[in-house]
Order: sequence, then C-alpha cells, then structure tokens
Amino acid sequence: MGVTVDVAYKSLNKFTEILCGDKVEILKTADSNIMILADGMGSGVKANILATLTSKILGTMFLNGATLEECVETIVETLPICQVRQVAYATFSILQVFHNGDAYLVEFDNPGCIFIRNGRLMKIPENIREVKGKKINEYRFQVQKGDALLLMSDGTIHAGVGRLLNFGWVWEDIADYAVKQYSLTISAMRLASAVCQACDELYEYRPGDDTTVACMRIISSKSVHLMTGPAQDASRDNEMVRSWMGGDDDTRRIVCGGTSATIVSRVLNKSLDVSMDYVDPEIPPIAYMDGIDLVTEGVLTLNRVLQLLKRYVKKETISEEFFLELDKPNGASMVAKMLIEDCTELHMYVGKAINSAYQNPGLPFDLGIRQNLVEQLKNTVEEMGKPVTVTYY
Amino acid sequence: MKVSICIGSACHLRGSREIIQKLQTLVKANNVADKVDLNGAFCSGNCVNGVCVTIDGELFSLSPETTEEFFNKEIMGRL
Repeated sequence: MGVTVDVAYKSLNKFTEILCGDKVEILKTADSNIMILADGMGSGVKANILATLTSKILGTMFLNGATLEECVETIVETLPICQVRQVAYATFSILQVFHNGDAYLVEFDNPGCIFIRNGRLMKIPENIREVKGKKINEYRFQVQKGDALLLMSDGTIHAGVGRLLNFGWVWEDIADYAVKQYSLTISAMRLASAVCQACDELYEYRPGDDTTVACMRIISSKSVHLMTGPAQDASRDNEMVRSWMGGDDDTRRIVCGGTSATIVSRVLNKSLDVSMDYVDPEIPPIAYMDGIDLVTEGVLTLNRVLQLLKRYVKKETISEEFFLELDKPNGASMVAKMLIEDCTELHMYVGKAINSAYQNPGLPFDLGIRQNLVEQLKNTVEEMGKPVTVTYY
Repeated sequence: MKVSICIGSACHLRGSREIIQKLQTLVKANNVADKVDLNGAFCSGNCVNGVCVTIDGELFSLSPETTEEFFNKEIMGRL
C-alpha cells in the first residue's frame, strides 16, 4: 500500500511567553514521513532552545540512519545543563511512518500518543527499554488508511489544573475528546487545532504551560487539478482541457475563471449553470457543471484563496475562526478548503491569454495578475508540504 | 424572458452584484417574477463597455445607475 500522510500541529505558548518551549519537526525521507515533538524543560527561551536542539538532533540523526541509542546519547551529551535544576532535559516523541505502512513510535516522558483507528481508541502496548538511563517506550506497528495519531506535550494534560479541573485534563478524557473530533474531520490540522483549542479554553485562555498537539493522519493520495485562464493560442483549448480532465477516479477538478469555465463547457459539451448567489460581496458567485468539483470566477477568487493559504501556513494565525472562514460557501473558501483538506498534490493548468478588458486602468483591481498569483499559489502550497506542478498554455 | 447578468471578474468589479440586487428588487416589486427569469452568466466577451446583461441573447451594457432605466425600458417594455 502506498501510504500518504497529512501532518499538522498547533501550539499554544505559556501565557505571557513569546517563544514556545515545545518544538515540532516534520521531515520526509525517501521512504517515510517523520514527525517529532520535543518539549523543553521550563518555558521561554531556555525551553525553546532545549526543544529545538532535541528535535533538530533527533531529526537530523534519524534522517541519516542513526540508531535510537546514538540519538539519545547525543542529546544527553549535547544539551546545555539547566543552572537551576542541574539537568539537561527535554522530553520527546517520534513517529515515523513508512510508505509501505510500517510505523515506528518512540516515546520519552511525553503524554502517550493517542492512536485512533476506525473511530476507536487503540491501545499502545508498553515496551520499555532503558537507553542511557532514560526509560523509552517503543512500538512497531502497521498503519491503515484513516488512522489518526496524535503526539502531545504535557501542557495538554495540565490544562485547567487547579482551576476548572482538579487534576488537569486527564489523558483518557483528551483521548475521548479526540475520538469525538476524529469523526468530524479528515484534516490533521483541524484535529490538532480542536484539541489545542479545548486546552486553551480549559486554561481560560491563559495557558499555564506550553501546549502542543501534533497530528498525523494516514490518507490516500488525492490530486487536485486546477485550471485557470484561457490558452494563449485558442487552438490549444482542447489539449488544455483534456490534460486537466486526466487523472484517476479520486482526482478533484477545479476551474477558476469565467472564460475558462465557458471553454470547458464547450469542449466537454456540458452545460454551465451560473449562480447569482452573492454569499460574499467581494467574491463573485460560483457556477455548477456536471462532473466538475468546483467552478469559480478567476483572479479575484484566486487572490482570496492565496490570502487564506498564506494565513494557513503561518501557523500562529490559525484558530477556530480561520476554519469557520474556510467553511463558508463562497468560491474562494471552497477552493482553499479543498487545497488544505482534500489534496495531497496539486497540478495547475494555466492559460497565458491576456484579456484586453483587464488592461483597463479604470478598474479598481488589477486583473492582469494571474500568472503572478499562480506563482505565489505554487510556493504557498509547496510550503504546505504538497508537491505542485504548473503547465502553461 | 431570460435575463442573464455576467458575474465574471471585470463585470463583478463594475457592479454585477448591485445590478443583480436591483433587478431582483424591481422584478419582485412589479410582480413579474413569473415572466422574467434572472440568471447568472460568465463572460459574454464584451467586458470593456460595462456589465454585460443579455435579454434572450440580445446584449446590453449596464452600470448600477442605468439599471432602473434598463428595467423599465427593455424588460417592462417587452412584456
């Protein structure tokens, strides 16, 4: 089985701290995906440095094929020693999922990984090994499509301690909550955010500790084909539409642009039903075509899509409010949502024709910026960790 | 009667939304909803002159200011 993963994380800083003392590293090797969460002792700068060093060392050494023993030894000998407590310390969890479905989980002193399969919590067996005086749990298993795995720092289980909850948010209750959220979304980011948001609420929005939730979901690969703009040479319209229609049964197809949609409608001989429903005053309404997942206006919509995706890659700005925006039924939110939640690779088919009516300085927005938008879109989606190809016509 | 209003990029910027709202209000106020079928449309290829509106295929260029006049003359005039 060819395993693809959706990986995302969300952190809350301890109240008043500018830096987070938790650090997540997300890495790709030729045959696996790796997610590492390190939690540095204390908070602020010191914790941030400890966590960064730990996650970077683990990541770099793992990438180069070092054994767990070598990694732990290096960490123990490298971390600066805390003057207050006279120890060098950061807890960590490592999850590596290979493309063939093999998975390897390593946990040291973080709250246990939450492993959800088919809507049920799975037990992770105890298998403790002592490495350099540290008790480390290892688990080797096989993942399946749909599995969700959450790594957390201890800020989660301390949420609300002594205030809203006597003993904090106990692991079992977090796991129950995660299981409930699991069925509501296929997105790793939403799952991580939902748990993090609940912690924030329990902390009454003043987290007493750095809090991080990192989520990996096992998904099947899904390509999105996005076509925008008419071909420079109209004789290539057919070829452009045919390439865009390529792919397999799971391929999602979006066309952004009124003229482009008209061309698709003509080439495929399918009727185009344009809505007049202005759900957002700034974004022109969408249209419908049988068999096509999404039909929207072009440049204005793509401009908004880009703004949304840029907010998404800047993790700090993601909140429930962002997802509410993403759930709105306007064309831009719908495209952005598909690219964020339902896409593992993006192929863009971009026409270079210039619409003379757009070269009009009287318009309040420069519509002649399609190619610029496409370039920025490509960079932003790549930043999300998804491969992008662009073909110009 | 089929009336289509372009909501493509250029027409949108020139006020499609306002024109649609005005036409919807006028159609309702004049009780002609059963005779006038308002639709959205994509680019009709005449973006330079204003918001493209077609009545049964015949092309007009509108702005929000001229909408009421257009409604009275072209739409009511044909009923």
